[in-house]
Amino acid sequence: MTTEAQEVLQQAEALRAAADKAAAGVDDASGLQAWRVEFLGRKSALNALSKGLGSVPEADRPAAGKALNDLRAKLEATYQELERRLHAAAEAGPAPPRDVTLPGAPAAVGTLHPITQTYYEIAAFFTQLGFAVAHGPEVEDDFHNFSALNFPPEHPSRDTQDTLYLAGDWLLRTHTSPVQIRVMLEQEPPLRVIVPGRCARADAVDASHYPVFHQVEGLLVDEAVSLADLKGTLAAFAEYLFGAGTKIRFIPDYFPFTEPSADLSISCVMCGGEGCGPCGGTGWLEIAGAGMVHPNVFRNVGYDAEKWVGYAFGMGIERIAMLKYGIDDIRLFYENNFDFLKQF
Amino acid sequence: MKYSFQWLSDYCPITVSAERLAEELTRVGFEVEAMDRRGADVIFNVDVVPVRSDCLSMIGLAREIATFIGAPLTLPPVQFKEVHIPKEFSVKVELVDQDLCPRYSGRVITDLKVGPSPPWLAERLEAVGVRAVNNVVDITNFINLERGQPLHAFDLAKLRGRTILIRRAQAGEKLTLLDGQELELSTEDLVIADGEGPVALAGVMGGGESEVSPSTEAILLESAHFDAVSVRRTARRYGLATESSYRFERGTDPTATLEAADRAAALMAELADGTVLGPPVDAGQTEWARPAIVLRPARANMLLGTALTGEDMAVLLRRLYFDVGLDRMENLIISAPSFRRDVSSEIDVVEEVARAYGYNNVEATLPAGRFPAPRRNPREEFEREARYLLTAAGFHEVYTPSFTNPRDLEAAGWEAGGGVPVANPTVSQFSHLRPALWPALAEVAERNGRLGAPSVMIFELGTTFAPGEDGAVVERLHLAALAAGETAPRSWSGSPPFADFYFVKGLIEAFARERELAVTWDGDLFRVGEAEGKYRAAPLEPFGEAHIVELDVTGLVDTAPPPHRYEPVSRFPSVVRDLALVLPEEAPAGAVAEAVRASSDLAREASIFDLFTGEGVPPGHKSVGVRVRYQADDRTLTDDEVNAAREQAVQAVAAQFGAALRE
Repeated sequence: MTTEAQEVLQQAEALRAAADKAAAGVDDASGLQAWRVEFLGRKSALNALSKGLGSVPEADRPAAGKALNDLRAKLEATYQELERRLHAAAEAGPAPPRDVTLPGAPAAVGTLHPITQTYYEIAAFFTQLGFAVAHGPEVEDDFHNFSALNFPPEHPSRDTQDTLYLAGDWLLRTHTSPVQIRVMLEQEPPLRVIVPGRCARADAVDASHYPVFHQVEGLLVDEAVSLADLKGTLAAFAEYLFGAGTKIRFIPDYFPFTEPSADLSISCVMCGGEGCGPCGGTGWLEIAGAGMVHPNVFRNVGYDAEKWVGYAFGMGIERIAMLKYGIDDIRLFYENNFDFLKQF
Repeated sequence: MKYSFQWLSDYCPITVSAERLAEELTRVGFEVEAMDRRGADVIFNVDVVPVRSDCLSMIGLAREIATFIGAPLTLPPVQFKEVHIPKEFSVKVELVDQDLCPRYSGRVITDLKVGPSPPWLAERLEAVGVRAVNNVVDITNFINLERGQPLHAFDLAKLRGRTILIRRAQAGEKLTLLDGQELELSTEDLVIADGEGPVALAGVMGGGESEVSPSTEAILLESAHFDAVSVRRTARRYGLATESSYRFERGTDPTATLEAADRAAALMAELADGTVLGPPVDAGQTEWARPAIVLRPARANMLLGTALTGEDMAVLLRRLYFDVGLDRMENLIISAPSFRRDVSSEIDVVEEVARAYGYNNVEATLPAGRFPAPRRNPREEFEREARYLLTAAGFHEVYTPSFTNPRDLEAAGWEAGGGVPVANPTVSQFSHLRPALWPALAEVAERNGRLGAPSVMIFELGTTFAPGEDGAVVERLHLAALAAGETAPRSWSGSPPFADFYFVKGLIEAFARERELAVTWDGDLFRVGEAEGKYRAAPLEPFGEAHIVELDVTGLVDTAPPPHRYEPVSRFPSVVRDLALVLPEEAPAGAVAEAVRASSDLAREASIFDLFTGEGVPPGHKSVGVRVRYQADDRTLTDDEVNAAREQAVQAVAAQFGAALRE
């Protein structure tokens, strides 16, 4: 086929596309008239193309002519369809004037559970500090959940864990700390890792207890890390999560796997530290346990306890979500009523 | 444990208010959980951590208070007249199993007049919740609370013979306790036995036979050091928890047994007319060495982020009753006081330095040091992707408990006796671990429906549990979604469609597309890549039916999706053609559309836009509308090309499925 003929075909196709596009915007009689003039009128591009057929070599002329005829038929059909549609719209009467107080068509957007949202906020802080994320199993053994974490056998410190046991030596992890052990057995220091996950305790069900809960654990191992670094990390975390000006209280506590151990509280989000019901009048709300990794824990995973030091912390996600959102009953997280879920 | 402000003040002049004291105690690691006024007194409920058993007593906590408020500690004098023991009262103690009882001290006291305690003593006990019984029993309780050394008084007249054996119980031996409970003892239990048999469960509870009664005149007062683990095991074996076992299982001070017995004896002489006989009973190890611990000040400073001198540290530690010396390397040589059995290594001393220095005074800095190389976490990425996809599709995330129970399991179609039971469930409806997520989702949907929700679209990403080999438990990560009722929010401009099979199938397809995996269906079962899933339609009021898909995504998590490659985009316009096909009813419409797409390289997409039977369609047939998009990468298609491709499609589906174009 000659260049001239191809030129005609291409222009016809472009014309068809342009006409379709313009047709979509036709919504009244004057628009329809304008469309007709532009695409089917005497001075239309289609007419111009038809007049130019003479310059196409004779062999190609029938094919080019047929393409232009097809196009004309298509444009005529479009015109009729547009006319029919406008006529139908006119019969249906005019659309009511726009009412901006009418709600828009609702966008169907789902919600992430507040525990997920709170975890993602916590994770955002620690990933900025270079912490990776690790996971571990929810069913654990005594070694990972207790002995490797320096819980002495038959020691009352185990009672504080309220463990739920399965068959044999299996148990449901009471904290995410066993994943510290798993990570250290697999990876060499330096380490910065947070561990989110579900834990279980033999708790009754009431406004502040539930047999399952979620924790985020953190572990940092390096050659020089201090209690001051731990305190600074958690102070920055408290401000990140609860807003600038949030104060922290850092007091001694006991956990077998850290020493020195500390308990982190924030200035009460309800009363700002004046003392109120939710903070028991103290002005402080506990949000995390923390401490310097106990040298025995390093020994249990084969790290050189003289060379490596580290800090670790753990916090309950429900607890933090409750403080952050002012939720007063932990059961709400597991009831999943829409009136609750849709608030987040 | 409960502490009385007034009682504490007996040993240390507390010059601060109760509120201030509570703050101070909390600041140094003894969290005051509650404070209650009781007349002129204030009762503190203090959470004492398990390793600080030295503070499970008034004197113990007073020692800390003295240190931290800077007041002197005054211990009560122990003074009494000792009468040489006459032969008939002499008790021989045989420490048979010294491994479980390193030291056994005591006193024989005679001429006692059992009667009510003086008011001050009864008041001290009652202030902290201990009922006053009689002077002899009250004094043993008082000393336990004062010093944390549990005491036990045996009525000497009821002991058979004058020999006391501290030994493991023999098989089949029985003992009736103070509370009337009869135990059949285990050979692992340590007992106190007289000439004929056990008279007390060592460190846990005395026997009923030898109990002090109003007619008691002479007692053997026991003040022993029992092995913590042994006491704990025995107490647990019989479900017993006493003031005595509580302290022994946390560890007591072996050097303090005799002084506690003597202090009690002095009070018995004073308050119950007793005659204290001597020499005292004191069997076993009486000398206890205190190990030397080396503290390197530089290491302590590195660990704490402080800049203290060795001398600063020595001052702090001495205030906590530690002996501190120096070695040639300027290291501190520490020996902890005998009551601080929790301090045995350098790190324990570092913690004491921090506590004495004050966590408040430690600076807050951010860690310097080396950042490990960032690591991807496929599970974390998978979870985020799945959650964002499902919420974008309008689904709400839910969290349901990991537990279920046999009744719900059976209702959900599991066989009886299956599942993973919890050995010690606290809540009966949580007796087993969940094998799947969907039953809990159905419950959530039902609850929301009852509350009036017109639509439920929910999902959960969570762990399920199944029995594995040798009692192990197999954990799988599941993703489940449920849709019931309307599939979009209601609007004034029209009603949304109702959820059905195709709605949740579409969700699975979107999920698979995201991971670039193929979906295959076989009845209710489906696969997304290698992952297996199941569709369920569960009857659910008030919606009629809930449509649920649950997919085991464990295998997907660790296999990252294949690297996503860009496909060149054509710059030439595409042309759309519709095919109205009449097909036998049993012809699979999805396969027909796929055949249309495969019939020509120019067919880029073929989708079903219409499906109906009835008017205009012969019986046993259906009409399927397939919309095809034709496009080439290098040119604009001509009508002839498109028509030819369309004709190929018609022929292909005619041959494969007996399809004909509808006129």
